[in-house]
Amino acid sequence: MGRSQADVGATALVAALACGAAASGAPAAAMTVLGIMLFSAPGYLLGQLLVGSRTTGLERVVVMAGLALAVPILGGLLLYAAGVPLHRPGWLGLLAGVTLAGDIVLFRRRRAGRAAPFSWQPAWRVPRWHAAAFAAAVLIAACGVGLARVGVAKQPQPGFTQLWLSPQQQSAHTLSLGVSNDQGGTTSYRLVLLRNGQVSATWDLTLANGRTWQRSVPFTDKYTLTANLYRLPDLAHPYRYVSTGSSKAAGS
Amino acid sequence: MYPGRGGPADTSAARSRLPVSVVALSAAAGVLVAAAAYTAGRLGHAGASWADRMYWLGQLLILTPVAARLLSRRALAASETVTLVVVLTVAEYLVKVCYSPAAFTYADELMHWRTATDISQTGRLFTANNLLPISPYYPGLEEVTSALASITGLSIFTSGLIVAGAAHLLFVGVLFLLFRYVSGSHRIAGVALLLYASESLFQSFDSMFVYQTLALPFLGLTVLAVYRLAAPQAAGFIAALAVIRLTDNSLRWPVIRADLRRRAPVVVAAAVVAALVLILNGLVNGWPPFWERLPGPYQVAGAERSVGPDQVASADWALAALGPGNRFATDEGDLPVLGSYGDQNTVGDDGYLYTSPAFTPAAAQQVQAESIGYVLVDRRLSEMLPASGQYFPVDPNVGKYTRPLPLADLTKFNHVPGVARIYDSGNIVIYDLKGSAYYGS
Repeated sequence: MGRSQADVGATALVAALACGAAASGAPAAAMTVLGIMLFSAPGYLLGQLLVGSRTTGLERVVVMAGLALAVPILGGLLLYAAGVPLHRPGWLGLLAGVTLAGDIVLFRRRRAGRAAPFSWQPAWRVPRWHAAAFAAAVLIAACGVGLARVGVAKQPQPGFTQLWLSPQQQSAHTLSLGVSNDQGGTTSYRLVLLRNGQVSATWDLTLANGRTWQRSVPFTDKYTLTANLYRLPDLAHPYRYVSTGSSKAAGS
Repeated sequence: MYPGRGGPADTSAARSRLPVSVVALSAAAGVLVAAAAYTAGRLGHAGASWADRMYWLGQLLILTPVAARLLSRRALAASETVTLVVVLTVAEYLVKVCYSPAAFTYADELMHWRTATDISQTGRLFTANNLLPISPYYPGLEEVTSALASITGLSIFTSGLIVAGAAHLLFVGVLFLLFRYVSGSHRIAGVALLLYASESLFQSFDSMFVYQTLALPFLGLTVLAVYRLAAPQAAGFIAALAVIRLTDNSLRWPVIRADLRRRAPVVVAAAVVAALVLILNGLVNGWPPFWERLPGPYQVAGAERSVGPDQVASADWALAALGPGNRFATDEGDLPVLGSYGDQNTVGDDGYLYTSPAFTPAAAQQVQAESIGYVLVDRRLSEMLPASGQYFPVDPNVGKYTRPLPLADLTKFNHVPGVARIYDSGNIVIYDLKGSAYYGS
């Protein structure tokens, strides 16, 4: 395969590498790069096949980009109609399949002289200092996005604690009692479970930020369950409370 | 570069002293300044006039050099025009990204995020979307996003940003080509795109993660294909283009160039100012609304600023604990989060549940008619007026509120027989109405 088929070889290699990387559990960065290249490959090849050398410059780029976006849309519908789940294997198969099919057709057309050989001729040359300025622009814009992300991370958010007492989907006679700490740091609680107003159980919990504590508690309609959560050291006022209803709860 | 249309028409004019690479640098600096304004808003200065001015300074850094280059009398090569249009589009898109750089927060984007997430999780198309039922039946954007996320391992959010950005840029490219073919001038095409940028949708709904962002370039490509394949003189649905073409003769660049050459530079400056006024007007009237120009702390019934960690946590909990598709009453600010992250079937006309001090049989009748199973109460409705003017999606009192809702109206569910208080995160409480007085129990 000579230079005239370099793009055919490159796109076929991308398809093979992407499939191999996915099968071998390659690092995320490699999958990202290969995935984007594989995503673009069908558009490039279909563009070569459909419009070939009849278009140049921007028009060729927009046609190829449009085709690259159209392949997953139409291909996804076909996969769905064929009963193939739209997960990684299905998408990889679709994009790699279209890429390799396009490679074969383009290769044959070129061999038969019915398609122009591959050539790389930049439309215009950019002086070195202009290129440096464009690179700096990309860097500055990336810094802008990075700054915005830092802003999100640093934005003051009031911490919160979730308490729940809810039916479990698996069992009608069991409730899920849980506490989740998002206060921004380790927090100590006392959780008191009341049955018809009488203390049924007590737990002292210390949860790191982002951690959850959960229990299943039996329940029937014959009594009311209330759970009062205290944030230590304050044991006088419930910090959160939940109840199965029917009686006035503690924190109201 | 453009067969059959001749080369650039203004190459005889003097070269500009403002290279497009410098324009790109200025636009990038504008993105950075706008991002700094957004960060200032997040760190507690959302209401500060200096932060607001910083945002507009960033916009001027983006827009002014582009407008000046496109409208100047100096020579402008086709490649330079394309670069200017790309710089403008990408810079404005990045400003939009900087507003919500970690997750989708626009309500419309959250709706489509739900559909894309459903496709990724189930591997199937046409699954129900309670927040925007029609969305799964037009799944193109979500298919592409799901495919990209699947094969790259990127999140739906990041993949969605890439797809929406690429689609927006593609649409701009197609529009440029169409204007170029119709007018015969790349500069007129560039100016036309500058005018498109003055449309309030340019930086918002035409570049958001919503289905029209991908539909528009395919519409443009279809028109372009017909124009190119069926010949410009073809009749049919490109009659509109033909109309533009008929008027084209009075717009052709050589005429404009000749006119401009006779005019003083002040006329060009006036044209630049006019273009900037138009674009800034589009930004003022676009999205996000002026009362959330900068991101910042939580606002009741706002847009982006009603999406916070506790809203997302409660919605995630609802999905995990209750399953999807439950009929939920909620307020304007919590609805998009509960419907997307929580995948719940939210009710729009539910203000009556939050604006009465006690249980009423009439409310019970309406609850039953709307099959409401759960009520999400955000007690901050009793602390702030609604930023959008309405507390509820369907709100007969929109714009009429003079004080926040009484707390007693929100906490009355604690005392209604049979109502279970199943979730409490401080500001947000979820009640289960099933088996309560609302259902005659």
